[in-house]
Amino acid sequence: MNVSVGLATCGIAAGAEAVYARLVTSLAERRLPTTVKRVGCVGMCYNEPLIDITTKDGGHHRYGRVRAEDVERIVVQHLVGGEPVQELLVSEDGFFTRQVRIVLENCGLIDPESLDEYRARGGYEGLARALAEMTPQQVIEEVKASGLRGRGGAGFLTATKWSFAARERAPDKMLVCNGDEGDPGAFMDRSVLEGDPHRVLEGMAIGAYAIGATHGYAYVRAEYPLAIERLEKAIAAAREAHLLGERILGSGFSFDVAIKAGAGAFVCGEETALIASIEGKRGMPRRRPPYPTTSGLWGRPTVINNVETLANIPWILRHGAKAFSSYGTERSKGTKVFALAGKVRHSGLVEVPMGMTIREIVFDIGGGTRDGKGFKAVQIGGPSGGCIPSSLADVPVDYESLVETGAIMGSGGLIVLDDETCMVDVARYFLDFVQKESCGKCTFCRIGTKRMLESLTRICEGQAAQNELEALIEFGQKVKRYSLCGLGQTAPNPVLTTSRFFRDEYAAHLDEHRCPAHVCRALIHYRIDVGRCRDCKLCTKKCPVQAISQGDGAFQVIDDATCVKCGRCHELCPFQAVEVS
Amino acid sequence: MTVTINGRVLAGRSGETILTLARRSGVDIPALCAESRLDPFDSCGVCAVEVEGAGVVKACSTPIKEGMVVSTASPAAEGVRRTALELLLSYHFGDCVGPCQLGCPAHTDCQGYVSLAANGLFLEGLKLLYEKLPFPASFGRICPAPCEDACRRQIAEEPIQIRHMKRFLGDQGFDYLPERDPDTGFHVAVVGGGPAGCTAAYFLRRRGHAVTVFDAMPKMGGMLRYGIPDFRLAQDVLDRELGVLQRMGITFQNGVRLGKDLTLADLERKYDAVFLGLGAWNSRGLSIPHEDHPDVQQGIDFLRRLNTGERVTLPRRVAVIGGGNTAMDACRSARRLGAEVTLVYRRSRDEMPAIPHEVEEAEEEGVEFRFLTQPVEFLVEGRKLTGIRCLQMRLGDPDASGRAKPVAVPGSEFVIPVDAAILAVGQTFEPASLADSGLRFDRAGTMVADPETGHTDRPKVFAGGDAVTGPGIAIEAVAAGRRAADAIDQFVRGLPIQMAPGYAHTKEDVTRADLGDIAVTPRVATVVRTPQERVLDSREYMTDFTADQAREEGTRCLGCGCSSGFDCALRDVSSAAHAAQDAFAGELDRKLPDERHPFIVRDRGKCIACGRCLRVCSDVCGIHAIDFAGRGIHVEVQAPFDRAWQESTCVSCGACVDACPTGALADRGNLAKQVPLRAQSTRTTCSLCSLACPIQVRTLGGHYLTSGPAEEEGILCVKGRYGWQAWSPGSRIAGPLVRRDKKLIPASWDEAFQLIRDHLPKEKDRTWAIAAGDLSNEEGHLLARLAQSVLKTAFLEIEHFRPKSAFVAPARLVASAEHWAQADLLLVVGPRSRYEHFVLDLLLRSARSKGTPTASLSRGFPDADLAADGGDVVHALSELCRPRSHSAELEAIRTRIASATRPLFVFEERALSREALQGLCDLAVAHPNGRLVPVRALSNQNGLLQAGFDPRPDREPNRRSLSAAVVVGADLARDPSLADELAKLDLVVALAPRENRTTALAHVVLPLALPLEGRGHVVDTYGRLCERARTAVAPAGRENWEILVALAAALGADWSYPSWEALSQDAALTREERLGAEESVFLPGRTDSRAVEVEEALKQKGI
Repeated sequence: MNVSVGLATCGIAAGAEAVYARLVTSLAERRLPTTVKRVGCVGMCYNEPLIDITTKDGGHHRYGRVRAEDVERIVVQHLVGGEPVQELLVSEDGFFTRQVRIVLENCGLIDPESLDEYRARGGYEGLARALAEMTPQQVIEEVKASGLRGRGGAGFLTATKWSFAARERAPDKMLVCNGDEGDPGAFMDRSVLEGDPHRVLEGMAIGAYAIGATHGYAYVRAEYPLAIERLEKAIAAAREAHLLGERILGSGFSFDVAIKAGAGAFVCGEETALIASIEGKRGMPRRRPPYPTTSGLWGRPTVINNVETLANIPWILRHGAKAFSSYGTERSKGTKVFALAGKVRHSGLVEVPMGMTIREIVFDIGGGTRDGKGFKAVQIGGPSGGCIPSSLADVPVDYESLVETGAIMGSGGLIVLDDETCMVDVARYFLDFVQKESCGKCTFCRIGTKRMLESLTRICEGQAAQNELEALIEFGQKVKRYSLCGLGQTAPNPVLTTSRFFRDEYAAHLDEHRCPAHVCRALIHYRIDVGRCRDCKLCTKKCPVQAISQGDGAFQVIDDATCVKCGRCHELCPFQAVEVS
Repeated sequence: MTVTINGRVLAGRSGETILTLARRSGVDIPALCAESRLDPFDSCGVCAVEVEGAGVVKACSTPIKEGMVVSTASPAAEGVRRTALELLLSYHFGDCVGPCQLGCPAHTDCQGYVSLAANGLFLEGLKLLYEKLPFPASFGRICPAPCEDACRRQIAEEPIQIRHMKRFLGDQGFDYLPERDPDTGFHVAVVGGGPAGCTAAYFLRRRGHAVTVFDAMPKMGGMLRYGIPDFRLAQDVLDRELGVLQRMGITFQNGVRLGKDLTLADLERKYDAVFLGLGAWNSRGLSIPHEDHPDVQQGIDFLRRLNTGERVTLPRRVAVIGGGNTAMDACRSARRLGAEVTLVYRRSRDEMPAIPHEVEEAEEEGVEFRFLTQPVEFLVEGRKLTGIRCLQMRLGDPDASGRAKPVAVPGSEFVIPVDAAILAVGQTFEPASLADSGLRFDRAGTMVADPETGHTDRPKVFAGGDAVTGPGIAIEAVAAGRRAADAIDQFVRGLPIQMAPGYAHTKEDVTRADLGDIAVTPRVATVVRTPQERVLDSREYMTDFTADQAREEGTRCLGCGCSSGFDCALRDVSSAAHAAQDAFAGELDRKLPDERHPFIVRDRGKCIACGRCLRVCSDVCGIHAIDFAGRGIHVEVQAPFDRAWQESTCVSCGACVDACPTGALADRGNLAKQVPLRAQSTRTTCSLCSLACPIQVRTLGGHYLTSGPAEEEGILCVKGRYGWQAWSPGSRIAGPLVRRDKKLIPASWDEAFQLIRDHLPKEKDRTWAIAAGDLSNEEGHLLARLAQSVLKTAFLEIEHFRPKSAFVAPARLVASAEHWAQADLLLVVGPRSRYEHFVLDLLLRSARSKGTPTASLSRGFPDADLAADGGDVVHALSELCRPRSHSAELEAIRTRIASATRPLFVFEERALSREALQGLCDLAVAHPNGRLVPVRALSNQNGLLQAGFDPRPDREPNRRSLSAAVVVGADLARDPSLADELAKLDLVVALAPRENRTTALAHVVLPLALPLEGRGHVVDTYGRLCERARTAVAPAGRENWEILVALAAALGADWSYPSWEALSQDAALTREERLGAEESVFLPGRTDSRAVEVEEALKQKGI
């Protein structure tokens, strides 16, 4: 019997440590021989904490939303009695059936701190194969044949990047793993580093072999302490096993990896800023060329690959390019991991073959919108990605198709929006994020995004001028064009895509001073329907600013001037008497 | 590679950017963040250019390509540039010039002269006034002072008394005559001698043109003379100021009336251009019955009669009708004639166009006010005026002028009994004199002319003042006169007439919090005669500031205008691009300046985050004391943890200030009150070490302001940059002092010389002559001659070249500049930290980056290729002389020296002991081509040695035989043992810039000029001759050579120098004779008092 508890950051946040502790104590008290395995993220974040029980005959049961007090029952009834606790089991609900797991093949299944478990599932076979059977050039060829493109966002062909660095003649080259996952709501890289760290190291070693690098850096943001801890342990274990360090696996190839904890600046995900950060300078981008493959870290040729990109490499080397390229579309091969979030029933970590449509991801895997609200759009590609409306839900998820909609693949954030979401407000939210993360280097990004944000705020508040939107779009194009790095160049995207597909919502704000989704506070008003009000005074008691008082009869009234539009009365009223207009 | 920029085909070098090529080829591409020393930063976006086929790109970071076609001024490129600038301006909190200056129609530099007055620099203040206004004393009396309305000080309490400051400066009675350009041969006629005409004449004359002013009245001055009563502007004040114009060569012709005595056509024929400043001398009427009664007169006629000295009488009861300044002047003049005066005005007090304080003063003087009163008929009984029938009015809706329109209250008629009435309801221009001139007039009867240039429809004719604008305030006429002079100047020279665009950024919606931490300080009160007194005569009733009051009032100025107002790249580029401040309104941090650094003011609100300061600091200076902090729009340049900059690794070199393209970083000048100025700038040589860096000294009227590097993109150490400033203020000795009754008291030069003559020993070798190491060659030469032929002594020394401690090395060991250039190894010994010898540090690093290997025994040069702990330098040096060293680091250096063909041993002299000097010398001798580079604490020890100062041990003075000492510049008594010795002497003569320990025991003290205050030459580390200029003027007014020559003459020398040139030539010849004869070089191993003084001054400032 195999028992495992998901102990990635998501599980821990949901209380998995307590569940794990209770489970261990409970088993010990009963002197049961079963050990409990600590595994990484399974992906079903919406059901955390999770306990997986696998029997020798292959029977598999998954308990979700387990509370510490439930553990006793599971142990007694299932582990001792052999009878699953039906009401605590979670249904797969289609969540896994449509997924294809390459990057996440081990996540949630193996103990991330165990090199043996990784090796037991084919780990380091790819590296061994590369070192034993292939020249660096052949490794690059293999990756090229796989069609793998960088998963950090831009989708540059990984093999091409490698070949640029490989042809540089320099005594020491660098390979950097970019784990500076800064998008709000994104946790793909963290989950992989926490759940399967050796996979990333193996990918780095293979890449290093391919380009001739001797030094590797894993740049991981300091906000991911567990990822750093697990990666540190993995590096130590790999060194011990001669999988890193001098003469790896007895070959002539030597390569070692150091961890650099980033201090959490969004822009450090940009490769030139990341280089500056590792060098000990302020994380600020610089103009390319020269590209890092020519002159990167400390002037050395440097390849920078995203965590997910590197996590694909061992699989490709193990299963061959052909197997990999059998997934995906013509120009986008393999799979993509998404952090599915927002107003969706099954929020979590999913890996899907390229080319799956947005609709399939949202409905078949995600289970549709939460509470059955209308599906309005997805926001994809991180804070500077774009919004794709439900009318385009059949767009396949591949690099080119997404760009056509004005959005980008990005690193893998996928946020589902329902019809209670104001698209202008969404644009404002993301622009606000990007503006606050601007490194401040170039005028168009530092001041331009701020001025865009102020303009958008005016629209949200009904204070905008007649031609405000046109001016905003025109100016947004300038910010895109004249900003130095990807941050500024994509910062206007939320505005540009939402204004393209949701023009009517902008028009309502601009012309009628109305927020159709009832989100923009300056434009909404709460009112109590006298007919429905039963005078229970719940709203009056809970109003944080005492804006509600006794009306002229057996009902309450809201003073609009005092009301701060927090919406609590609207949520609380048992009789739906509070209306929004 | 061929690249075309703006149609010019240029040869580009592979790899360079568009901007580099353009700058190299003299094509101007504006750029704020780019700098030749730094890699492209790609930040500001101002260098936008359009490349054919590629659209708009940033020139600073776009590499050129073969056949590239670039346009710097295409509409697209200019659009992007303007957008970038407008974004920067939207987040820029500052004022280019003060609101006072913007508020003044003539843009007089109010902040400038007010602040100069605060510093007591009254003449400089007056000169600045004359840059914009030829009538400072007159306008200091009569101007309505819109500058004061704009003054921000009133947010705290009251505006600065800018008008009164003008009066004070104008009244100083300086014999100042504004400078003018050489004669051009052009001749301009000006018709009308009022403020517009005279101002145009003044500025045209300054440009070198001949000017004749014609006026119909008997005297010049126009309305200033004939429209303003004497109690406000005494006519002798005006006469004095008109006298300045005449002394400048302007011809005045009075009693000549246009249209009668001469015609416009005559003028056009005879002159190169004509300016018409004709004024508005016609009065409006009320068009009511009996207006033409003899007892009803016009206000300006009344005032003119008074001003021409006519005896004017008035009956007892007089009504003055109107609400403007002429009405006030008429009321107050009538009071002075003894009349009971009633002012009749149809609106209320708030609507009166007169200056409020004039209204108040009229009231004080007993004028009765009848507001909301409209005369409808003058009542006449027989031949006598008996009263005015009036209607009561009330205020209705605003009219076209924005003031409430008076409306009659029905049935409210009443009568004011009067014996006479004066009408002052408006003035107009009388176009009759120009009836057939072909000039155009508008419906109101005013002349039509370009509002900017004053150009009329007739090519040679320009016009300005009241005749063009309708009646306005006099300062507007001055402004029009100056603009027209600018235009006429271009016109007569055949140039297209262009008025310079001037971007002026302003702080908007300023609140008390934006003023920072200032104390409430009300305006300085001057004496004003009481109303009872002043109505008795027509004399002025205000008095001037005293000098102290002027300084005090000036000190109140908040200094709104930017210290970089005259040299701000952001402002220049914004002007050229016609950028607007409010194109992108939005959040703006209202940051107050950071004043924590003693010499650098950081006006944080003006930072455009171009990063030049911090990139120069790290990439050029290698210091990295500052960097960006924060994110997004709030990014700011800071030292770590936002400490004061000098509390970081900052070496106070000021390179960041030079790099700043705006006023965000500026050097604080050496005046108590900071003034943005166009200062004079003079190149000279720094004297604070023997590297003798070229420096640029900014001065104003002989007063030192700041110093900086003379070479473009040069960098100085803290001493060269700020040492002069830290050291030079304080109480200077301004004249000779002699000791009487144990006290030093001021004396005449003769008295001082007499005292020296009386007490100087007559015997040989009884006097000790000793000089500071920064005297010039010429000063040294004079002192040497003085010692030899007058003091009759062989004891001639440089401070601290004490025979017993000085180390003597063979002269051939000292490196020349060529040796430096050819060296293949530099070993550094000496500086304890970078800070101590930052320029040396830069030189070494520059050599290193060019491929010369470096080694160091000092902590002061951490970047060396090879380094060893210099803890015990003597030991380390002796190790280096051995066949093999025990220390691996030293051994590495030793072998590197051995393998070098031309090694140089660079050392900071003062940091080394005699033993260490010996060790270094041994090291140099041991190598066939080893050479020494001694970096000395002051600039001219080398030059003085060559001038004949001789510290050889066998020449050491026999202390017991000494009875007198002449100490020039050095503070010998800092050394207690020397103080004891000096105290025993019969005569100590100290030449010193300020009192010190040596002057404290001297019998005679003579004022000494600082090295920046006199001409001369010095010899630098490598033996090169460097020139020293007289940048500032010593308080005593004399240069040191003059003092020494006078002293020699007073002591009976049979030589003297008729001129500086003669001296300089003699000194140079003597030096040349000695050159080559030198066999030894003296290394003192100690430092001079003056170097220590500067360091202490800096330390006191917190650096």
